[in-house]
Amino acid sequence: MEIAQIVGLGLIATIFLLIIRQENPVMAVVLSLAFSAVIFLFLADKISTVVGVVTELSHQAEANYFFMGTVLKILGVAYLAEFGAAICRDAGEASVAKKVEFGAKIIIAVLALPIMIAILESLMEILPG
Amino acid sequence: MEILTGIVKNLVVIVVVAGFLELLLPDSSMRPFVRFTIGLFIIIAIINPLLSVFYSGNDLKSLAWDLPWEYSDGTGFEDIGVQVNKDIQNTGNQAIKQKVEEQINSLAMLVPGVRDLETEIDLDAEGRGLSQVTLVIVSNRSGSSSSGDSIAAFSSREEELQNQEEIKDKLTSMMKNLYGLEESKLKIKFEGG
Repeated sequence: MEIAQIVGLGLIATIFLLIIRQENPVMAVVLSLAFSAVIFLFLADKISTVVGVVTELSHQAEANYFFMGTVLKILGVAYLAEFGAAICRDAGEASVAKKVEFGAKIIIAVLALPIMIAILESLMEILPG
Repeated sequence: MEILTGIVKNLVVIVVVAGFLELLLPDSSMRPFVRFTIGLFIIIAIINPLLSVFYSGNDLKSLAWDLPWEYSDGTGFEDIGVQVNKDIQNTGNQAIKQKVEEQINSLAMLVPGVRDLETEIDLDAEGRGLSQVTLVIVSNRSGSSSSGDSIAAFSSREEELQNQEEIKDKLTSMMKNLYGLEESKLKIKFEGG
């Protein structure tokens, strides 16, 4: 029962955070980071399985892996930014969280550009006139 | 009809995969961005087969850094790895061979009567033991001063053969004691017969 372990860990981390945050807010942020890292490491195997299955399916569907890889990268960027922003918000730094999200949006836009260009160029060549 | 069925099948898989990826999205302000990209991916999945069927000359435009990704099951890398491993093993075996030859040379020179020698060893297939050792010995000739006297020369030849037998015995026992080498794996030759 991995979900029970995750929930248990989450509850323990929350109680510790509630206690520590009043005394030492810096340590609370560190604990929050450590908890995020533990959860990520705990689920790393499962994430890689999901990515492997999605990749295999896209091969079977004869989809161009470059585009599939880009979508997976974008998902990774979104999650990472979400984690970072949430930690910043927990530390009471909402403006920094906004900047992290802004950075992630720009990176996602840059990663999506080649796909957009590829589609537009192809459509322009097909369309008459 | 078959082509159309294939396209539809692939599209269904891609749309299901895209839907699954959308499920994985984090619930944040980045959601529309990622959804847009997934939408582009689906459009590509629709356009790509249509282009290849109806406009055979116009494949989906791709930039230089967007080269088709070739799926590899890793066997090529495995072969390269095996080759590199073999090369490393060969290099190691050669070094071991040279060192052992030098070692045997130095030890055999200590045997009385051996003036000079050449050693050649063969390692076994795994490179963990000696499979064959060949020693070519140049020995000191005894009784060479009595030249001209046929009887003395005859006796000198006998003495030399005896001397060679002694050297052979000593070298055999030395190789047996030091390297645990069986007698059948040791070949001792004397230069000049």
